[in-house]
Amino acid sequence: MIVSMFMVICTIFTGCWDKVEIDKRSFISTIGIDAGENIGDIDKLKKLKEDKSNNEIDFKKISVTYGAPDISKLGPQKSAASQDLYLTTDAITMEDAVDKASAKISRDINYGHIKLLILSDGVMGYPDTFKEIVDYFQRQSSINRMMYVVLAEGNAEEYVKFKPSMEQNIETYISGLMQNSDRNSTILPVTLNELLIHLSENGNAIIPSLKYDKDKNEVILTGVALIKDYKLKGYLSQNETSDIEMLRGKLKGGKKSVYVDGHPIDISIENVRKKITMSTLNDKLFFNIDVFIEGQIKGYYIGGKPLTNEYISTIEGNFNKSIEDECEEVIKITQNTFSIDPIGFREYLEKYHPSIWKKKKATWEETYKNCIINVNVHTKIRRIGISK
Amino acid sequence: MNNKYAVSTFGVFASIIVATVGIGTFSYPNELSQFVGTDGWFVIIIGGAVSYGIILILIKLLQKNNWSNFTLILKNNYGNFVGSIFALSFAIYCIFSMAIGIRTFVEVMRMYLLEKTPTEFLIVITLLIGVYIIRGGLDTIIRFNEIAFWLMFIPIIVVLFLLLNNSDFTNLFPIMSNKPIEYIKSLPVNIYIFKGFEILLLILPFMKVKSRVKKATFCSITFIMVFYVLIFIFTLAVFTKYQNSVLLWPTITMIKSINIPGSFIERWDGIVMTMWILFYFTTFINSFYFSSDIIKNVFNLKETKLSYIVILPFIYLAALYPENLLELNDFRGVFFQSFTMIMIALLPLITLIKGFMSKAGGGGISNN
Repeated sequence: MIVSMFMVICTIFTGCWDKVEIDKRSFISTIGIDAGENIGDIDKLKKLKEDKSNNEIDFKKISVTYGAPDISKLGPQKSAASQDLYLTTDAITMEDAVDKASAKISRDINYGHIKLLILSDGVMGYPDTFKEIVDYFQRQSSINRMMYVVLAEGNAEEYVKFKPSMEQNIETYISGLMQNSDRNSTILPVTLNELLIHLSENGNAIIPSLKYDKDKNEVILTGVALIKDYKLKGYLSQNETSDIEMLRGKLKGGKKSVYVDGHPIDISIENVRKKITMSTLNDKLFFNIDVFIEGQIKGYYIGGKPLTNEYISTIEGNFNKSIEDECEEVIKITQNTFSIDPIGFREYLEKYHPSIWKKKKATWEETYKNCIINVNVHTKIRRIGISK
Repeated sequence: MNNKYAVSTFGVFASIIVATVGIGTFSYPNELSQFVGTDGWFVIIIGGAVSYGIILILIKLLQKNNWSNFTLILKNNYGNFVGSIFALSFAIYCIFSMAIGIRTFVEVMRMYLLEKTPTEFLIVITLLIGVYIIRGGLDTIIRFNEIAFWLMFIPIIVVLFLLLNNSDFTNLFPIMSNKPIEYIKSLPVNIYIFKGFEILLLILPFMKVKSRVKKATFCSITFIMVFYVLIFIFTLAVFTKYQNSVLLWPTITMIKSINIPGSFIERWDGIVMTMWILFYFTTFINSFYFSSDIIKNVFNLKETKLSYIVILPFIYLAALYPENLLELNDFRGVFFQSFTMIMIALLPLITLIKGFMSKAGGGGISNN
């Protein structure tokens, strides 16, 4: 009898240690990470001894801004989204930031519903700090790995606090933009999961980049930023981004045009497939990328040549040539200026030609710079709209 | 006494699967990817084949000894004293494996769900719930296994379907591009994921239709093998082999990363933790009952109630012995793996050979 009472009491009290009331939780939805004042003084940190107490040093390595929705403004009669409440702290590491923030905030910080991570280009110039930040996100069990990651030009704090015209807060705006990648080819959504996977492969990654136009009070997507060895290397413009997406075979929608007699013919791309083949000659690698595009004509002009089968084939040929030239340009940029391979040749070699990969692994950068890449585009226009 | 209870074929099938598939499911892709990258599925298939070989040895041992109780078999073959020593060491192996299991279970619970609750308290609660189920006897446990089988595997198959959106199956390439030494280094992972089928030493003597023994066990091992291969393939498809080698619990992170826009479940933490509990519990109670049964037979106690009260403090102390997760992983290292192999494979094999040699080893009295 006593034993069963004891058992029942034990099972009732299991929640006692971890209880947090729901109104005492703060659900962080956005994190912005900026470079702090002291981020360049790594030598000061290197001088610290391992077994000395270092908890009191005032070293502003990063500045973290947390944005959380104001739940008091949400409810069934009120709107479904609200403006965020913000908190900025200077700290040495991400965990230090949480620690300092919990001294300023009256609620329990909770990462479960985080939607957006904004990294500023300042922080991305310091690979040591970025490695610490990446490890933090990889190690937390409660982080939502499907959150979007973007790189912001300038201060991430301004972006976290930005109120877009169509939405209540920036993470809804950016998530909506990312989901728009179905229609717009210049948007390349990157989740934390993808970012961590790419970084764990070889320290390289691509992240979409944002720019804040102060005069027009707009935040616009300006293509992608290229990360090499955990450091920001450069940017690709929106058009170059859409070409990279196409070459990766991940493009879900977009628009390309060619000009005939001064009039643009627009096709909207519906589907892209890619196929890589490879041959070697004298220890040099030759890659062939075949890109199969399906689309429909969305814009023509009144009084133009009627769209017959032969004319469509001519238009397709024009698209093929123009997109091939564009893509080869972009590939040359990735080879020569950045030496980063965002298209996936490295994965292709590793997966399908492991013996060659083993030989080339150590000198992949050199090999990629010197290999010849040939792009063949095959456009098929499936529909022309509802008028002739 | 409920000795007239007869286990159905499905009961045997479900019990072996449910006792073997435990918490190892959530962490083994990490270890396999570390050693053999993308070829873990091959290692699992080898593990499954070897396990079936060991199962055949166990079945033969039981058949030869007229389907009697395991402790009785050992006592008959080795004499009362030495047989009891061997049976006790088998019970100690069960206790160790339970202690490692319970500690891993509680550590992961603490990390994902209950961060501030003391470890000791969680271990006590788990043990108490285990005791509650055990008190029902063997028929309760078998019926629990049968129900838990459906509860465990249907949700996880549904979850695997939901992952197809995120996965890229070309991550499985390149195939077979590792040095042979790496495959050999990764074989011990199999011991961790396939151990548990020794429960058949407890259950098979009670089986209703003994002619279906081989079919039931073959189906269960094949099911386990296919399940493990599937989980491994999916973790590779969602993360690549690089991220798999970094994450400690790839399966848990994989289920948490399911993202279906517009679905009514946005956070999968709750579901994956429920599965974690269920997968662990079935392994735990089967092992617990088996070890209590052995202790009862060794010391000729009238009921199992006394024996599990005796075992409880040992599990508690052994579970608290490692300082942290890394020390726990060392615990699971060479010493425990060899101990497992000796207990599950070597001991029955030697007993069987001894039985053949002495020709008088068939005189086991069946447990009536």
